[in-house]
Amino acid sequence: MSLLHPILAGVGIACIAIPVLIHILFRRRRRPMAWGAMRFLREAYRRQRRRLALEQWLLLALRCLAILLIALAVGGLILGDRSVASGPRDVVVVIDNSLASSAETASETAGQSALVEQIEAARGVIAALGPADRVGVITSGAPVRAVVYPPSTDRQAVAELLESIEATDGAHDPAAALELIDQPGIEAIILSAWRSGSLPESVAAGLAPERTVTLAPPAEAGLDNATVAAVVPARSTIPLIGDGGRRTVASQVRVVLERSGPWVDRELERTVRLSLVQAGGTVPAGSATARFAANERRTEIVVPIAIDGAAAGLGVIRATIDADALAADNQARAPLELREQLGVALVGRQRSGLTSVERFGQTDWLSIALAPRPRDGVALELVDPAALDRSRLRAFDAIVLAEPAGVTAEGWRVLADAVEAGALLAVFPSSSADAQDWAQPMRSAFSLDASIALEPASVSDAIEPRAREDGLLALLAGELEELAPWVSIERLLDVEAGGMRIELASAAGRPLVLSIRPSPRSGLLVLSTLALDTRWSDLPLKPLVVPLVQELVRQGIAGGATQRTGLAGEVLEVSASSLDRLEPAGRAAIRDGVLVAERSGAWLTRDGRGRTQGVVAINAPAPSAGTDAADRETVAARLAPIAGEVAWLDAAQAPRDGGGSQSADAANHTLPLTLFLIAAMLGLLEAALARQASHATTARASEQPRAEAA
Amino acid sequence: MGRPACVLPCVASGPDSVGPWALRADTIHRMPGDRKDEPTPGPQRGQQPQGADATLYLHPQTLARLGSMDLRAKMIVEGVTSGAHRSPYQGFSVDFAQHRPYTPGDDLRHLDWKVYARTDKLHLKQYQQETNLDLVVMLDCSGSMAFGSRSFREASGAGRDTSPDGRREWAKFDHATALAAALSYITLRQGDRVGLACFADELKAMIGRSSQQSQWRQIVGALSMHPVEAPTQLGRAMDQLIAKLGNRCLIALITDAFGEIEELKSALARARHRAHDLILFQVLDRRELDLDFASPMPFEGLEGEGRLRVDPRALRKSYQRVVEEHLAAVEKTTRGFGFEYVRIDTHDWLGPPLAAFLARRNAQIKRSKYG
Repeated sequence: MSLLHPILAGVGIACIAIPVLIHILFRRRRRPMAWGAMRFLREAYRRQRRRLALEQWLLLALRCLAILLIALAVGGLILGDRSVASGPRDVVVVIDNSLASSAETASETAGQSALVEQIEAARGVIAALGPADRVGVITSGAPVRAVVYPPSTDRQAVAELLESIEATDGAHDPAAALELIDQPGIEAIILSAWRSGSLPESVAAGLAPERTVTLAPPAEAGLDNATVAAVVPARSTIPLIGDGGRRTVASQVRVVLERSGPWVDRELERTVRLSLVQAGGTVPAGSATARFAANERRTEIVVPIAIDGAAAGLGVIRATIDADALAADNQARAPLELREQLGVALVGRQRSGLTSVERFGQTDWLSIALAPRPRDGVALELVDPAALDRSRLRAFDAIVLAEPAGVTAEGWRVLADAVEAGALLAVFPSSSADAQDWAQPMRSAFSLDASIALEPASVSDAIEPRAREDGLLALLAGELEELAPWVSIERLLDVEAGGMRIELASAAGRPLVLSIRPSPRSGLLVLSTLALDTRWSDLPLKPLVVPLVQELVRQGIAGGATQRTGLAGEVLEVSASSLDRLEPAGRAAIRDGVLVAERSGAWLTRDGRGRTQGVVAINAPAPSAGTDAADRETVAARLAPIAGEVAWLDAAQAPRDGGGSQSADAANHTLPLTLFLIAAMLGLLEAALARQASHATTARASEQPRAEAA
Repeated sequence: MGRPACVLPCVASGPDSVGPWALRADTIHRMPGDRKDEPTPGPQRGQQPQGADATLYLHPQTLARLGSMDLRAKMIVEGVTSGAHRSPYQGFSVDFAQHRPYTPGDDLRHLDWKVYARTDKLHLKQYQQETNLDLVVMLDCSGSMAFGSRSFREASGAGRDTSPDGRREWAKFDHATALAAALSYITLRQGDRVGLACFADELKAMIGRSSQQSQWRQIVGALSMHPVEAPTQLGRAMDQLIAKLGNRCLIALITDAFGEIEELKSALARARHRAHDLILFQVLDRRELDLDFASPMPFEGLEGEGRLRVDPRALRKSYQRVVEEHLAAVEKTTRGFGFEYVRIDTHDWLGPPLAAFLARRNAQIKRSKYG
């Protein structure tokens, strides 16, 4: 037995104290009656004591029992467990429409997705409900959506709404679905094939551990499926190469593939085809063949980008593999921007007519490093440090600050705004003076925690020939290995990194290049502790200087506000107002600065005036594309944090099997009324007994002769 | 239990007090045939104890009912003066009683010569000697007599809402003192002697028998001043009373008789043994008989029996049965000794039952006298 409203029942049961309290208060209020015939009263009491005590206890018991029954009736006493017995029942069917639910099932039902099977199962559940039962529907594929909630008695309409449920490319999130069920006493039935992609990887424990959840049994067989887990272009912003009408792109894309299902134990080849998707259309960008060894679930391949006749503009590079059980995960994409040229502002003063290398300043060296050849993809423009202007800087992709000492405080604020707008700012120490008094205004402008020395230190150091694998200079790993040992460092600006990331360090471990992105959607701030000056090091004279500076600028430009990636079903904060679809299959919407995509795809983001802001690439989450079969124990263990108890919904069985549960339902429907009736009968019995015990009729009868006597 | 004794009724103090003890002229009713110039037996104007109000005890209506009655003893009691009551000592007075054969030694003066002339046998004439009635009012002053449920205003007929001591209820003791006063009044009017004995657990007060007119004043004064206290021990009090009575008397025992039957039986047996006549006036309050209360409440005994919380409605039947059993036992015991038993309800006027009792008693006397 359990209670639907335990608080009400508790209050009602507490009311049992009322008759006792009344009795106690009543006793205290009375004044004693002086009585002469006390002897006879005691004798009468002695004769009646047992009967009176019995009557009093019986009356008290009847009163308490009546109140108890009313409390239980009000509290909704039900037979059996509260979660499986109710009257009427509230059932919420949670349907898995996540990425894995799109997998097409085995041969006997070829072409039918797991989602279709779950919708059919949901119809069966709804059909098995009683006439007074209520049903709701929630889809558990991210983003979780309440199709019908709170539960409705219009089961036919609910069944029709099942037709509108479509699969998403998001992960399966049963915890979020159960969290939507905020009312107690509602049964939850989760319908899923429970293949590996539908099993929640990690669920926050304690969401509703007391809830009993009924689960559809897991699919018995896995499905062969390969997934494009990741597409990582070497550069996300690439300048076009070549003149005239035929422009080419020189870059490459790393593609990660994963597979699941019965074919894991076999060798497998998949052809990876790259496409460049832009507003103007989709063009092939190369292909390659990836191979899985036997029992290998993950492989990578680097595919060169080969685009014939590329056009500048925002877009995505998309990798597609051959069809298998799941279609949505057969392609993934990454933002890619093709540029005619990269606009770079070199902030410094260049002296003209220099003929001696020894007299070159930092501005000169940077100018050479940034544009070693004309029309090499970089449009370099010299800007005076004392004349920094917001509108002027807005036109540049990158700002290279060669003479920070000449920047005013207002100039630092202008630079900070430019970074906030998405530009790259690379700061080199001032080589013309020992005092580096620009450090403090820069730290203030960018709110840096890093500690920067005011003067360079004399050192004898070299460049560590390794860079971070996920850093700005990752693509420079080969050059660093070859060229870095030839560089010697004599002066260096000591910097404590604070919150900055060390991209390149010296052999002695001193930071050489540090970077930080002040805000998630801002550009990158890069700080070099080494000035390009021969008094500091011989780097300007070494071959490493050009690839190092080029890589800092080209890679630093990428990943700014214009290029966003995300996963289907996840929340992505954007500053855009609208989306412009690049791929027809994608399904996403922006609401209140948040982009939520149900289906993977690529979109151009636009601001309120319709201007293109950037590109967003949404992919299917690779872990959710698993198609391995799971057993019941595994499923129950994965769901343990969100379901205190797990029941299984057998295929040929309704949520609760027919006869027994229906009779229990009927009993539960009538139980409160029965309790009320019994309480009413007890009340009548109590009244009669109280009247009999108190001899109320005798009292009235005795008043009659007195009146006559008067 | 330490219950303080109450005084029924209280004595007003001070010479200037008016009201309760100021006797009004119209409250004294002369009997038919009385001469106006003869002093009326009993209370006289100006003779009341200072502060005593006889109207509280001798209601005018009661006196009106009793005025035409003569109190006569059922039995022949021994009197010290001649009166209207027959003496058990057969002598040679006025009323002829019977003849008896002569035996040697008899006084020849009492020979009936006429019988001797007619029958030639010697017989003596015997006469009945009339004697006075000695009435001793034995009044129960125990704590249980303090109970009353009738309003004082209605019962006293004196136009007062409360008793002199502030009670609004007419207690059984009030009714008992009224009865005692009525009996004393009638007895004194007949020229007989009357005395008063107040008792509870022992004899508390005693006024010797006298037929003097000042006796009324003493009795009323004692009735009005005596406190009500202590539990009842009738046997002990009867012993003490009988020890003080030198001759046979009519004892008017006025009590609620709530004590044990065995004790009552013992007391009556002693009175019977000493050849006293006795009339038991059992004074009861109607509420004591009905237990007519509507809600549960604690009851506290007036004689220190402690407190008992009961629901009177639940106990009523059983209580009435117990009371009826007791009353029947009292009556049966009393009549078993050849004594009269009269039940008096404090909610009734005192006159009608008392008058009915006297009428029945006179009838009995006449039947026994004239066959």
